[in-house]
Formats: sequence, C-alpha cells, structure tokens
Amino acid sequence: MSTFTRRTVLTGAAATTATITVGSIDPAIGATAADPAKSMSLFIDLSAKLTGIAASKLNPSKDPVNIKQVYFDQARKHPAFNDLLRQFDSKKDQVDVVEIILQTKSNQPKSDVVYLARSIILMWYLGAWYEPSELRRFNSPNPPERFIKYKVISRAAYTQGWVWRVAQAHPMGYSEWEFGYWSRPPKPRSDFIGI
Amino acid sequence: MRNGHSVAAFIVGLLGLFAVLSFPALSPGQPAAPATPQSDPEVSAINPERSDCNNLKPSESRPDETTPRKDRPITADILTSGLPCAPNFVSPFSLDNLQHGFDFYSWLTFIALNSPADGKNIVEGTPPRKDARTKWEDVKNYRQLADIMLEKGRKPEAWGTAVELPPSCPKDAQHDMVIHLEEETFNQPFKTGPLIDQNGNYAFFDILMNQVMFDYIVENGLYTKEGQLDFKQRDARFSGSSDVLSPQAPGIVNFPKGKVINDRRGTMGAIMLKVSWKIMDPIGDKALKEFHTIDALIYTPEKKKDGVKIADATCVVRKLGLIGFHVGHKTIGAPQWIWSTFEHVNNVPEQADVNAGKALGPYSLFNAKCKPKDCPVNQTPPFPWEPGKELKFHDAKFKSQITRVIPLTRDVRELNKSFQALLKGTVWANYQLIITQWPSDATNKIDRTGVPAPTYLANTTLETYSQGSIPLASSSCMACHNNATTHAGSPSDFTFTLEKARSSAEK
Repeated sequence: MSTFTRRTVLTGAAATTATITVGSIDPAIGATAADPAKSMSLFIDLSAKLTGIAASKLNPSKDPVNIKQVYFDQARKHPAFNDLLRQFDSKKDQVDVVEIILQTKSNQPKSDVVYLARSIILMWYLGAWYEPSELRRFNSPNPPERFIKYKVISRAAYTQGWVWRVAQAHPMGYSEWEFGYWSRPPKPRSDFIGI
Repeated sequence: MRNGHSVAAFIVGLLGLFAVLSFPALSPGQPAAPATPQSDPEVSAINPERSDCNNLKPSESRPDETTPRKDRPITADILTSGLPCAPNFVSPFSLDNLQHGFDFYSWLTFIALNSPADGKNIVEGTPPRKDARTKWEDVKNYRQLADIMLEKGRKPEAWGTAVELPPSCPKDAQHDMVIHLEEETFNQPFKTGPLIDQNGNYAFFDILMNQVMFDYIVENGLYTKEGQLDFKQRDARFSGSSDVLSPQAPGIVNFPKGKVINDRRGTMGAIMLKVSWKIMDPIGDKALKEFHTIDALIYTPEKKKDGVKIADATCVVRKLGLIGFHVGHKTIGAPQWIWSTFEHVNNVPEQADVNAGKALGPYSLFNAKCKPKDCPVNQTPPFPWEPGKELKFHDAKFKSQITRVIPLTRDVRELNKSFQALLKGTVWANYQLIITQWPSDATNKIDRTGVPAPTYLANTTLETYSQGSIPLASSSCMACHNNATTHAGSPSDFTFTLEKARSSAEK
C-alpha cells in the first residue's frame, strides 16, 4: 500500500483534474507558434484554461518574479510543446475550447500532448516538473509501486505554486505575511485567488 | 488511504471549480494619483505639507526594453533640485520604466542628502576633493539611532539639539559624528558577521532617521519598550473588537508617507538611512581623495559581565571613509518603503568579472592578487568577532574577500555613468547606485511585501553574507524588513529601529 503525503495527494489531485479535462489532440489542427512572443502569449492563455486561473494572474502586468518564463522554458523542452500550442491556437476563440481541443469525452489512448498538458497544470500548481512520460506510467492500469518522480523547477518556483494560494497557505519556510498572522483568522480565499 | 482519497477528492473538486471560473485581475502597482490637499490624510503636524519637493522625473519612457532609452539630460539643474518627496514617473508604466524611474529618484535622493550641510550644492564642497559635511550628517536634518533609543528609556533630546558627548570622549576633539560601537555597528544583520577590509580594519555601520520618523516615534512613545506595549494596547484586534489589520487603525505602527501633491508641493514622509564606513589612514592612505570622509569619535561603552565592569569605556578618533549608503523612504505609493542602495565603486568586483579575470582592483574588500583557493569569497571571519581597542581584526592574516553576486543591470550602469559625469571632480563621482527595490504591487492583499522589484537586493558592505537569490535566505530589503516588530510583538512597519528601544525599568 502506498503512503499518502501532502504532495502525493496534491499530485494525484492535479493529475486527475488534468485527466478529466485533457483528452487527445488532433495533430493536424493548428497554427504555427514559431514567434516567441506569440508562443508565450499562447502558453499563458493555454495555462489559464488548463489551471482555471486567470491569465492576468499567471502573467501580471508588472512581474518581477517572471516565473512564467521559467515555466515556459521548462515546458518548451518537450517535443510535443509546439503541437500543443498550435492546436490550442486554432480553437482558442471558442467558448468550449478545452472540451473541443482536449476531447474530454474521448476514449482514445492519450497522446504525448495530453500528458504534457497535465505536466503544465502540475507545474503551475506545485512549482515542480513531472515528466509527461512519468505521468503516463502513473496513469496506467497498473501504476508502478513507487513515488512518482519530479523536480522542483527553481528556487523561485518553490515559492510560487498556486496550490498554496488555493489552500490559503504558504510553503514551508517562506511567507510574505506579516508577523503575528497566525494569531488572527485567515484572510478570505478571495484575497488569494480573486473569487 | 481512504482519508487520502477523500482529501484528494476535495482538492479535485476545488481545482475543477477553478477550471470553469475566471478571476479578476490583481490591481497593478501604479504610482498613486495625487490627492487633493483637503482630503489628504497624510498631511499632519509631523508630516507637514512642504513646497520644496524635488519632483523631477525621467523625461521619456521607452516602449519596450529593446528600444534604446532616451533619458532626460543629466544636467546641473539636478544638483539644486532638492530631495524628492516621492518618485515621479512617465508612462507607459512598465516594469522596466518604473524601475528606471525609481533608480532616477534614487540618484536625486543621493545627491540631495549628500549635498553640503551648509546649503551649497554637491559639487561645491571643499577643494580639492570637493567633499564636505553632508546634510544627513548634520543633527538638524538627521539623527543617529543611538541618540534616539537611550538608556533607561530616556526621552530623546528635542530635534536639532546637539547631542551630548559620551563622558569618555575628549571634549575638544574635532569630529563630525560619534559612532556608538555596539554589536549592530560591526556585526551584520542576523549576526552574520563583521566585514574586515584589506587593511585588517572593521567596517562600521550606523543608522539614522529624518525628523518625520523621529517625531512619529517620540509622539507615540515608541522609544521605550513600555511605550511600545502601551501603543499596542490601542490596537482593537487585541481587545477582540476587530480582526482587521488596517494601517490607519490605532495601535498599528504606521510611519508617515511621502507624496507628491502637485508641482513642488508634497509631504516628505519617513526616511531612514543605513551607512557603512571603512577606517582610513588620514596621512598615508592614497585612496583618501576618492572617498567622502568624516572625522569620527568611535565610542565603546564600558563592558560588564554579571554586573561587574570588565572593561572601561573608550573613545578614539578615526578618519572614516563612506563605503555604503542605504536609503529607505516610505511613500504613498510604496508603503513597503522604497529602498535605494549605493556603494563606493572600489568596494568589490562583480563575481563575473573575477571569473573572467577582469577584476584588477585595488578594492577595499577584495584582493585581486589572492587566488580563490587561498581567499575563498564571501566567507565570514573566524571568531571572535568583537573588535578590540585598536579596531583591528584579531587575526592579522584575515581580510574579507568579497564579490558582488548579482551584477548591476545595464540600465543602472548607464544611469550611473550619467550621474557620475555630472559629479566629476568630486568624491561623489566614485559612488554608484546598485539598484532600487520597490513594491511592484503595493496593494497586493496576500503579499504584504507588495511583490518587490527586483526580488533581491544586497549592498556588499551591509548584506555581505546574504547575497544571492534564495527565497527568504538571500537579502531582500522588503522581505526582511517585513519581519520587523516592536518589543510588544507587533509589526513595526518595515523598520528594525524600534527593536533598539530600551526599558525605563532597566538598571
């Protein structure tokens, strides 16, 4: 029996969410994403759709931390990255773009693009990179009896995981809150995520 | 495992909810619009409206970072323009342009504070070095923390009053300042160690504040531990009648803010300085002409152990050269304060220059001839750290080998060149801005530090051993000062100065 830790629970949760929302993508669809600025813009829009977090929060107008660039650079290393962006680009103006492009009702075998999208979700929420191939193994009918591998992407990424804001919390060893916050009721969730 | 599944299911639900909702944008940290004087809560007896604010701003912003910046000419009118009440900016308000605006403001501040106390401008100091006693070294303008947080919680002397010399100091000694040698004077923040220059002398640190900050402390009784506790009792949260942390609420330490009202009208707000000095030989030091210097009395209080005196108080005269200069300024658009930091250009090389063999020196805090295996960089000195009477480090072989970990940005280098050209022929041309840290989202509800830009800032003379980019561990003015508290355990509004308050009950 595997042991549940906070991280394995959150990992499983985010991965499951990805499975629900991400299906196989038709590689024939798409527009090019060769332009770096356009690629970044698409990446942010795609990330917003995948995570449910507004693009303006993933990409603030003044962003000294610039974690999006770190995440973008991480994701783009994967061979399926351009396919994912192209296919998202071709459908992004449609209201139900996630369902259409990601084929949420499809029973087809999941493609590399699907698992890459799941890795992107995990990256934004946990600040960690889970190789899509690892997620595929984890999602098989008989997943390996071992802890799923991941890496914390950077020092900054450790502090930037959206999971902390969703939980109205902060990562261990790092907080921007004022001294004595623990003696008062937590701030409302809307302060963290805007709703 | 079941419990794990139920937790997972809850979070899945939560994340699923986010997938179908979109969130409103956070409000960006735009500079605050000027308020009308009638509705201005910032104007008060201790933070009065004034008409001498320096409200100069960079003349032009660039549309993006790839476009060359066409800045206003750095001309002589800047020398007499005075101290900014707050920064001023030119749209578009991108991160890049705002950073430039803050850096421009920092240089204006540096020039205003380091202008001669006698009212001349900064290039009119005494020849040949064009150096002079600065505005901030005059008790009429700034006061040292050691002269505010007094023993037994005594009330500080009225503003502008000459502070009495410690008994052990010679009454007739020519001096500009008295440096009280306490642990914070030689040991860096969080007791990370002293800094030993290439002559084997200690570097010294000192903290000062302007009248607005001083008046706020005195008016609210924050110069004693008991006064701080009494102040905290006014905080409604602790009586259970409110759980709202409002900066305007009674009992919340909230220093007055600088702001621009219009033209040269505004309020100055609280300003604090932290400076670093190196001991210089007044006769034999060839580098003397390159530094702003003062004649200082270094006063060491008597030492006691278990209530028994073990060492007499001492007071010696030393020539000190300025090597570091921090300014913290609280403004309406930056309630987390604006943090400007300057250094002498010959303090240290950048690590990248050392790696490339370009660090030739000489430097005050780095020996270019010493190989890395013999002189590892940025290491704390061996114990003991406390200075003896001669103010020399006990291990004559040890010299701090310091490099700058985070290089200056290209934009700051360009700005430095422009201002240094204006100051050519004075000691002040030998100082450089390192960077300005400011809140990029000052009203952020969950990040009380306001998302600092840049994330990290270190002066190699003041945060020597905490340079870098590790969250929480590496130096960030705002992240660090966010943890500052009073003796009553309340946030102290981004200043550690209140921790120096003493008790009226002390013996």
